[in-house]
Amino acid sequence: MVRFIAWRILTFVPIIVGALAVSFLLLHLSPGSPALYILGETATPEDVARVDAQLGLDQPFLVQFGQWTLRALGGDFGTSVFGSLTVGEAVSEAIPATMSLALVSIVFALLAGLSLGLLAGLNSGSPLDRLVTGLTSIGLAIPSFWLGVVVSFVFGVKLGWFPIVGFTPIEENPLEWFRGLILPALCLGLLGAAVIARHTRTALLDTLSRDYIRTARAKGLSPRRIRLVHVLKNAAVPIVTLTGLQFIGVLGGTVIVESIFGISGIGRLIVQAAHQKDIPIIQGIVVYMTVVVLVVNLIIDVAYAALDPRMSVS
Amino acid sequence: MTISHDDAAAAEIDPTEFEVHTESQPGAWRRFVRLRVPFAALLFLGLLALIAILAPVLASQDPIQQDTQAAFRLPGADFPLGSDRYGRDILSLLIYGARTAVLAVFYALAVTLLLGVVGGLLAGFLGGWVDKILSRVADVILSLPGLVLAIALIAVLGSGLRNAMLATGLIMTPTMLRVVRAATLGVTHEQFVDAARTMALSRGRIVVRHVLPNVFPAVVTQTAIMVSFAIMAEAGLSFLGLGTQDPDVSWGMMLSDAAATYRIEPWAMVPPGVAIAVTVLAANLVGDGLNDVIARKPIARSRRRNTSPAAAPAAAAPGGSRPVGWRGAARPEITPLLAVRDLEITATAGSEPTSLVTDLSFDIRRGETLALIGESGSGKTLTSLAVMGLLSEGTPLTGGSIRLVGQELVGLDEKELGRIRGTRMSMIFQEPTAALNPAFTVGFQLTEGLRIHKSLSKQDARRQAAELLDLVGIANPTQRLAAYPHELSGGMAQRVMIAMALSCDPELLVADEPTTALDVTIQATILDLLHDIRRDRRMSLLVVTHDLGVVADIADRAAVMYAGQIVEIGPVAQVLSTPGHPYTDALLRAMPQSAVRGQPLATIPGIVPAPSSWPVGCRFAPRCDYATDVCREQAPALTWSPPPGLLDESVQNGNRCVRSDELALEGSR
Repeated sequence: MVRFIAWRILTFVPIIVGALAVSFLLLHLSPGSPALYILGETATPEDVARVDAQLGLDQPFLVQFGQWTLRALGGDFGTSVFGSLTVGEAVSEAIPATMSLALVSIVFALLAGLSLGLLAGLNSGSPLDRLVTGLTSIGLAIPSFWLGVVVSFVFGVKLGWFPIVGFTPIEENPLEWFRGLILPALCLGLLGAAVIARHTRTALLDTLSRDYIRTARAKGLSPRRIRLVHVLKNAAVPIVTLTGLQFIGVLGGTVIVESIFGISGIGRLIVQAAHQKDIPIIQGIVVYMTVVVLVVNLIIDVAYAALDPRMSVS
Repeated sequence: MTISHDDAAAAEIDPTEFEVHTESQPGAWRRFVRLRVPFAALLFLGLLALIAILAPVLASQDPIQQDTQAAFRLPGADFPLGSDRYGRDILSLLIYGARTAVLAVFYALAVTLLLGVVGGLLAGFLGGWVDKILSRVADVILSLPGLVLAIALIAVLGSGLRNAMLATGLIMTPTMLRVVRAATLGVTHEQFVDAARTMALSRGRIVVRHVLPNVFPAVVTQTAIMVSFAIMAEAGLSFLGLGTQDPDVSWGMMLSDAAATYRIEPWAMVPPGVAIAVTVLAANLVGDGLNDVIARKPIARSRRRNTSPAAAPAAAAPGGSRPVGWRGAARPEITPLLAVRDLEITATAGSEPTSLVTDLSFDIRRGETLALIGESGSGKTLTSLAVMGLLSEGTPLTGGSIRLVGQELVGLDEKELGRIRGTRMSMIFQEPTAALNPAFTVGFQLTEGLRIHKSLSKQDARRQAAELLDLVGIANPTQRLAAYPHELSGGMAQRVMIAMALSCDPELLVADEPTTALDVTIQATILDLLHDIRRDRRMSLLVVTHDLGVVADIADRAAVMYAGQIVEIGPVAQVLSTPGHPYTDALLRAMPQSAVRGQPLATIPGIVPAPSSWPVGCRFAPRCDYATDVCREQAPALTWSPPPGLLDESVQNGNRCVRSDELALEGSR
C-alpha cells in the first residue's frame, strides 16, 4: 500500500507542473503589458515599472517561469497587488472557512444522496423510485445561488433559525460553526446529493443485474443479506469515485455560496481578486486548489484499492 | 484504474434481445419523439430560442427603461410578473434574459465544439504523442474545480458575457474532447475503418465518411448536457458580477439584483430562479432522452424480486391433481426427485407478451442425469433458471408446476425458496468468473452457505470449504480460500462454483452450459468431475448444453428442445443413435464428428425462428426435410410411450413428430 501511494504521488508531478504552467501563463495571456492591464490605461510609467518589477516581468520569459516556479514550489506566490498581504497569507486565512464549508457540504451530499439513491435503487419501479428520480432532476436544475438566497430569506430572515452571514471558526465555537454552515452546505451540497443519488441508484441496479447476484440467490441467501453484503460492497466502488468528483465540484461551488453567505473563504477571495484583476492571488488559489484536488484523488484511490480487489496495488 | 466488468455475462439468453430482433428498428429521432417528456423539453428549448430571437417584439418594455415609481410591484395588470427594484417589467427582463442565455450557450458551445471535437478527433484518430499531449492537458484542466478555473480566466480576459462564456467553453472542452476521443477510438478499431484504410482512402475522407457519423451521437448527447451547464454558468458568473454587464440583461443578474433587496420584496427572486431551473431541467431531460435513445441501453430492470413462480395459475391446483394438458397416461407414479409439468415462460417486456417456453414437462429421478439439448434461443437456459426459481422479472413463469420430491416450488416466495436453494438444489452457471462476486474472497463465498444453512462456526466452515476445494481438485485449498475470483482461471472458477454448489449436499444440481465458456482442454476434466461427484453423492443432475458430446459423456437421458418445446426425450443411447424426431436427426448430422471425409458438413437449413414468429404447426416444419401439409398446419403434441422392456414409470419417452413412426432416421451412425 505504501508503494502504491508513493506511485500515485509520483503521477501527480506532471499535473502540478501543468497547474503551475497554467497559473504562470494566466499573467501572460492578458493582452498588452500585464502591469498596464492590472493598473488600467491611466497608469503612470512609474507605476507600470513598479508593478513590472513586482511581478518580475522585466526578466526573459523562461527565466521568469523558472523563478516563479521555484518560488511557487516554496509556497511563495508574491504579494497581492492591492492588499498588503502576501498571497500565502491571504490564501491561508481563507482556507479554514472553505474547507469547513466543503467538508460539511460533501457529508450532507453523501448522506442525502446515498439514502435517496438506496431507497430508489432497492425499490426500483415503485412510486418512491419515481419520486426520488423526479426530486434529483429538480435538484440538478436548481441554481445554488438562487437556493442560497431563498433559504437565507426563509430560514434566516423570516424564521431566524440560522445566521445568514459570516463564518465562526470551529475552535471558537463548534456549535456556532456548524449552525452557520448548515444553510450554505445545504445549497452547496444539493447538486452533489442529486448526482450521488442518481449514480447510487444506477450502481445498485447495475449490481443487482449481475450474474453473481443470481449466484447468491441460487445459494439460498436471503434477499436482505444479498443486498446488504453482496450488492452494497460492489455498488460502493463507483460511488466512492463519484464522491471524489463531487468534492471537486463542491470546491468550485464555494465560489458562489461563499459570496452569498458572506463567508471569507477561498471562493470569495478569488471572486474579489477577479474583479480587481489581482493575478498573484488567483495564481496562488489555482495552485492551492490543484494540490487539494490531488490529495482528494489520492484518498479516493486508496479507498478504491481497499474496496475493489481487482485493482492491483502495484 | 477502470475495472473491466465481464461483459461476457451478457451472452446469456436475454429476453430483451428478442424484442430488438423482431421489432422494426425505428430511427433514433422517432424513438426520441416517442419518449415524449424529453421531446417536450426539446420543444420548450426551441420555443425559448424563438422568444430570444423575437425579444424586441415580444417584450412590452425596453429593459433599460427605469421607473422608480413602479418599483417592487407584485404581478398585476401593469406588470404580468411584477416589477424589480428599478421599476422594470420582470416579464420583459425575462424575455431579454432568454436572449442572453441563448447567446451565452452559443459562445460556450462554439469554443467547446470547435476545440473539443477537433481535439478529440485528432487524439482518437492519430493517437501517439498527439493523443498523449491532448489527454494530459485535458487531465490537468479536469482536475481543477471548473468554476475556479473559469474565474481565473475571466480575471485575465476581463469580465463580460463573451469572455465569461469563452472561459466556460474552455473549461467544458476537456470533457467534450474525452467523449469524442472515446467515440473515435471506438470506431477506428471497427472493421469498416480498417477496410477504408486498406482501400487507401485519405485520412480526411475516413474521418468525414466513417468516423464523424459515429462520433456524432456522442457529441449531440454531450452538447445537451453542456447547454444546461452553460446556462447555469452564465447565470452564476453574472450573479457574481463577472458575466453579463449592464445595460444587458441576464437571468443571473436579475437574481443578483433581487438578492440585494430580498428583505424588502422577495418576489423578484422567483421569476428568474424558475426560468433558470426550468431551462436547465429541460436541457438535462433532453440529454437524458438522447442518452436513452442513442446508447439504447436496455432499461435497467431490477431482478431483485422473484416474480418467476408467483403468478402461475396451474400451481393453484390443489391436491396435486394433474394440471390440464399433461398428456402422460394415467399410470401409478412413483415420485421422481424433480417433476416439471407444463411449464410456460413468457417474455413480458415487449409491447405484447411473447411465449418463450411452452408445454414443457420432464422428470428427473434420484441419481439420474438429464441433459437439455438445443440451439441458442431454444429456451433451455430459461428452463433451468425456472427450476431454480431464478427467472428474471421480464421473463416470468406463466404456467406449470415444478415439484421437488412432491413439494410444489411454483408460488413460493424468495424467502421460502431460499431455504430450498443452496441446500436441496443448487446451480452452476455458464460464466463461472462472472458468477462469482468479485468483491469477496473465494473463502468468504464458499463458507457463506455453510454458515447460514448449516450454522457452522467460522473455523468449521473454513475447514469444510477447504475440503470441498480439495474434492473438486484444487491444489493448496487452504491458500486458495484467500484468493479473489479475478485471480482464478475460468476452469478454476468453475471448480469453485461446483464446490460452492455442493457445499450443503444438494439433491439436485442444475448446470447451465457448465463447460461452454471454458478452454476445450479443461472441458473434459470439469465434465468428469461433475460425473464422478454425481455418482459418488447419488445426486441428480440437470445439464443444459448445446454440445452433444457432453450429452453422450455424462447424461442418462436427453431432452431435445426446439423453439421453446421439447421435441424429443428419452434415454441418451436411444436419442443419439435412433433419433425419433427429424430435428434431433438434423442436429446429429450437423455434428463435425459425423461428417464424412470429402463431403461438406451437413447443416440445418434456415434459422431458429424468433419466439414471436413461431410457425402455427410444427415449429420445425419450415426447416424440416420431411414436413408435410399436416406438419405445417397442425401443432403436434408430444406423445409419450413407455420404453420397451422398461417398467419404471418415471422414465419418459416422448416425441413430437407426427411422422416419427413412418420415418427411418439414422442419426449420426
